[in-house]
Amino acid sequence: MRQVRQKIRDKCKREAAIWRVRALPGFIVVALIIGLRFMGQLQFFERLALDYLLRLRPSEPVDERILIVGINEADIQRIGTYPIPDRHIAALFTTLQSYDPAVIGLDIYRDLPIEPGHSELVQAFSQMENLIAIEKVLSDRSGFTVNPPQGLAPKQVGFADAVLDSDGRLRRSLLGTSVDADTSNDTDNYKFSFTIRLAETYLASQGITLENGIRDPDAMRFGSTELNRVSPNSGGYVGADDGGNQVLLNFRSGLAPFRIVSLEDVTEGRVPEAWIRDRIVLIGITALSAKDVINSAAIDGVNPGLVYGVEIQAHAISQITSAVLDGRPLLKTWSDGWEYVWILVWGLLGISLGRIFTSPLKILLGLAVSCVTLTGVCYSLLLIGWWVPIVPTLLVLVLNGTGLTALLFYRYQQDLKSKIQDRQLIIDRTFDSIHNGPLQTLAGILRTVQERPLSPEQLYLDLKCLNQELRDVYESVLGEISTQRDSIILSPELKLDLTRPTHEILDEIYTYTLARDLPCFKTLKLKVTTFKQIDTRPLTLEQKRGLCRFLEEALCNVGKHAVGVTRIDVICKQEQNQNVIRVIDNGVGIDSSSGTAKTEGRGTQQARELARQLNGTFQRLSLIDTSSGTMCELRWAAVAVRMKDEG
Amino acid sequence: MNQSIQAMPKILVIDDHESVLTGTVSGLRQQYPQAEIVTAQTAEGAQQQIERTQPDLVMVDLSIPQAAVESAQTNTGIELLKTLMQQYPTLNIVVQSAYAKALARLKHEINNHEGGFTVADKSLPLKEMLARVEWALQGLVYTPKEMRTGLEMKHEWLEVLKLAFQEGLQDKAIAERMQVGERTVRHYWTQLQDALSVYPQPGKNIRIQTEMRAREEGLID
Amino acid sequence: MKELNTALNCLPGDTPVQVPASQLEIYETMRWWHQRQALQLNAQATEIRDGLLQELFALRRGLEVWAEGNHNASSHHHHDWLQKIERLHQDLERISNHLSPPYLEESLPLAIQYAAESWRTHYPQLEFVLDSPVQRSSESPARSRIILTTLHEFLQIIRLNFPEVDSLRISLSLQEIESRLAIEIPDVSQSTLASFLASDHLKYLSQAFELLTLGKCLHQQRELEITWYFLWQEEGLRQQ
Repeated sequence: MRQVRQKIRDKCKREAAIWRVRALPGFIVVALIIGLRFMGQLQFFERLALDYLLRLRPSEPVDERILIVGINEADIQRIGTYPIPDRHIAALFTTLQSYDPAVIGLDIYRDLPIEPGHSELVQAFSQMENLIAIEKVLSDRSGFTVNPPQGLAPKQVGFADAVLDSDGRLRRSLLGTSVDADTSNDTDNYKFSFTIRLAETYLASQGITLENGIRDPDAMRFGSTELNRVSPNSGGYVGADDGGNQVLLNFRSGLAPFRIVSLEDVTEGRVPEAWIRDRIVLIGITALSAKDVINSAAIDGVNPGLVYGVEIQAHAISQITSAVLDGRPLLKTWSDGWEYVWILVWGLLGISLGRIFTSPLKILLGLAVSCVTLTGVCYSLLLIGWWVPIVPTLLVLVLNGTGLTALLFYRYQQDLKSKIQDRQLIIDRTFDSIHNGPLQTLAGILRTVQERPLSPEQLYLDLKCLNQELRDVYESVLGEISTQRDSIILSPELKLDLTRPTHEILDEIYTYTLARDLPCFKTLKLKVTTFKQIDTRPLTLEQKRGLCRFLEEALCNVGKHAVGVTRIDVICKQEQNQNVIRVIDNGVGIDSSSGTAKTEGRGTQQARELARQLNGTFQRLSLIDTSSGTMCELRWAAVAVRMKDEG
Repeated sequence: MNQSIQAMPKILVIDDHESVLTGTVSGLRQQYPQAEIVTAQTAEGAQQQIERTQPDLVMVDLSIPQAAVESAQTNTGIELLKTLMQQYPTLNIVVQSAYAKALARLKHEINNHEGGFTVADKSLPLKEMLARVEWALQGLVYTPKEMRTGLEMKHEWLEVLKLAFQEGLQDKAIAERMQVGERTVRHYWTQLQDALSVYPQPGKNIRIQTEMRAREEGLID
Repeated sequence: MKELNTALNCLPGDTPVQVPASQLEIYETMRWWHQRQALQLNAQATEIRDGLLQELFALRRGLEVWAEGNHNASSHHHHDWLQKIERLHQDLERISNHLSPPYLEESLPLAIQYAAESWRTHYPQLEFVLDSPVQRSSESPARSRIILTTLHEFLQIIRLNFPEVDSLRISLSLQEIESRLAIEIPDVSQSTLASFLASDHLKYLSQAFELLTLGKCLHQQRELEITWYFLWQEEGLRQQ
């Protein structure tokens, strides 16, 4: 039982250690994306994604509470003048009023009289209490505002100002705002929008009144429905203008969300009474020539992107009344903290793909599945009113996923490259050893033969020697090439299983190498060794083989060149978060025994390559402070400190 | 605990000769009259006995058969020892063999073995054999010199020598300094004493002997 | 550094069998003969080790235990008996070791080391320097036995011919391709050297070695130092 726990703990520790190193680039990516989002570099894309997802939603049924009376091109042509004279508007009011609508909203500016019939309009305004008209309270670029029509009580006036995003599109609805005192004679300089006036009047007729919010006292509330205010950093917004009381617009989806009739339809009595009675009637211009259009990408339509102002008003009113009466969701966002947690979680998923799967193809597959899932989750959340970050999450997921895949490919190629280099090294070494050994001997024999006749015995010994040297070369090449995948063959009867703990393998290598018949080992008096666990991070078999070769080479160097060595220290252990393999001897240093510089160079080259692969360092130096001796050392970072004595 | 082991240890003797078993057991019986002594004649039998009786000490001949019908081979004994040291790291072991050098193959395992490990040639007189048994029971290590090539030490052992003889520390303080258990320090002592060929001698302090040998070899100044 | 006068002499009676086919035949015959003999010797040694020695061990333990339990009995007798048994034990062990040298099955270097130990006790005045790989070798037991016997016989010849020699250096180098046993004798006088080189024992030993291993026996003289080489190849490689 304890062992199982220990095993699990070990596994967790190991996993944590791997994550700490491997996941670092992943975390950097997450931090980078969060930083970009924080600086607002992603809001353009996030809003596009919102528009797109909103458009994707299934069609909602027609909102029967609202009727739009759109004055279209045909109406204007029939009347023959534009703007529409006040008399026609007044007549429309009278006709509509005869059907008893709950509230009529006039989404047409009437600050100036447009004769004929101005007096009739003023009269209609003063008589009809369920009539609401628009004004413009926020100065436009040229500093103009538009006054409400004369003869209306302040309660019957709402502003029609819209807040556009930096891309010129409308996603928010302004419900109320303070205006500067000097631009208005009103002492109470807080103004309500046309939208909220209509919704308030309609809902009041249903017995629901406008109150201050409970959760957020500055928000507006109808019954239990609170209209969430937009804050500067709501959802995908960063540093948005949150002047006044704004809410996000949850457009009603579908090709025909509202009933639209023309002025002529009303005056000719072609509109069913039920469409008007107790309903909200919006009067506006639906003629492109009147230029009362708004940019929105969230609404599907024949002419996507362009929506008549009156339709936008209908959407804004509809989202409030539907939320209050039908429980249709309003758009909500998470607090910034949760949004970043959300991004981080998906970033982690992206990183773990590389940990769970090892083949690039599987990672890509996993990535695709994750992306689809993420989009699905975001879409589903949007259906119930939550606007959650999708662009940054997709970014961290994809970057981490593909980044790791790319890294794997890179690593694979590096392995391949180092294998090719190894082969090259063998070829070079073979050439060197043929050149340094047999060829030299042969040259020597030829020289001697030229000088004086050689006895058959001497010639035989020399040829034997040559034969031996040639075979040695063959043997060593064979040894290099015939390395099996998971074992290392030291001699016909000593085969080491590379899957064993590294320190044990190295101990065997040490014993084997010191038993070799090398000249300098003969003077050895004292051997001091340390072989401790160094498998703190998983090493590939190739790396383990490299370590074995390194130790063997280092010990052989002592045996070949450390003349007069009496003591050798071999250390394999962890030192201050680094794994170390070190061989120290007190013989004559490498510098003083020349002539083998070339072969040593090869060994050094291989050791350096190994150090590079392990992100470690290799050094060989003469110990000057102790009169003679050489130290040969390979060290690389041990990821986690894990000591055998702990358990 | 230790006392009870000393007085009535559980001992397993492994040898393929009936007469040798009888002789060895009666010799052991003399020293440890209350001991529980069991025997086995093959490597397989030995493994079963060990599982059943959990002995404190195993006396093993290297030349034994794997199973009843097979012939005796030194290799079988070596493999058995290897398995035992892996499975029972604290088991005390006495190897009864004339050919101790074959044990050189197990050097790594013996170094890491935490229990006593002594080698007693069959030609030794009873008294000496019993002394080796006693050493093994005390957790000491005795390997014949032929098994080693020159002086082989571990850095930890040198550290123990330095702390003990140059700084005059006791085992407890050494353990603290080296951040290991006191038991580990005692294990280091037995291993390094074996490497220096220092063994208990009546009337002589083994630590002093160790210090003298270490100075002789130049391990401490 | 003083100049070395390298003089290589042909072996006495250096007429190796010229026809390879017949040499191979003789080799096979000799090898078979040797192997049969080795088997017999091994069987006898095993008989002593697994039979006599074990019985003797049991006998001695029995006596020891009995003596411990009977202090009043005449302890002198027991002591004598024990000593006699011990001597018998040693003798039997020596005979068995002679019949089948220890470690031949495991490794040639170990066997040579073991043999050197017994020579050291045998000829205390002679200093042996042994240079050999520590443990591992891939020689077959039969081949190891030939090498060991050769070395043993060679030492006997040296003892006979150079009674004044007080140190020997034996070095063994085992390679898969070609192994070599070298015996270095420093300080030999010219007069004894001639008779040594001419001795029949040496001639037969060299020929026997060459025949049994298909190896080569050479010597090299540098001033007063003479080095003897026994060279051989691994059995498997010969056929290649």
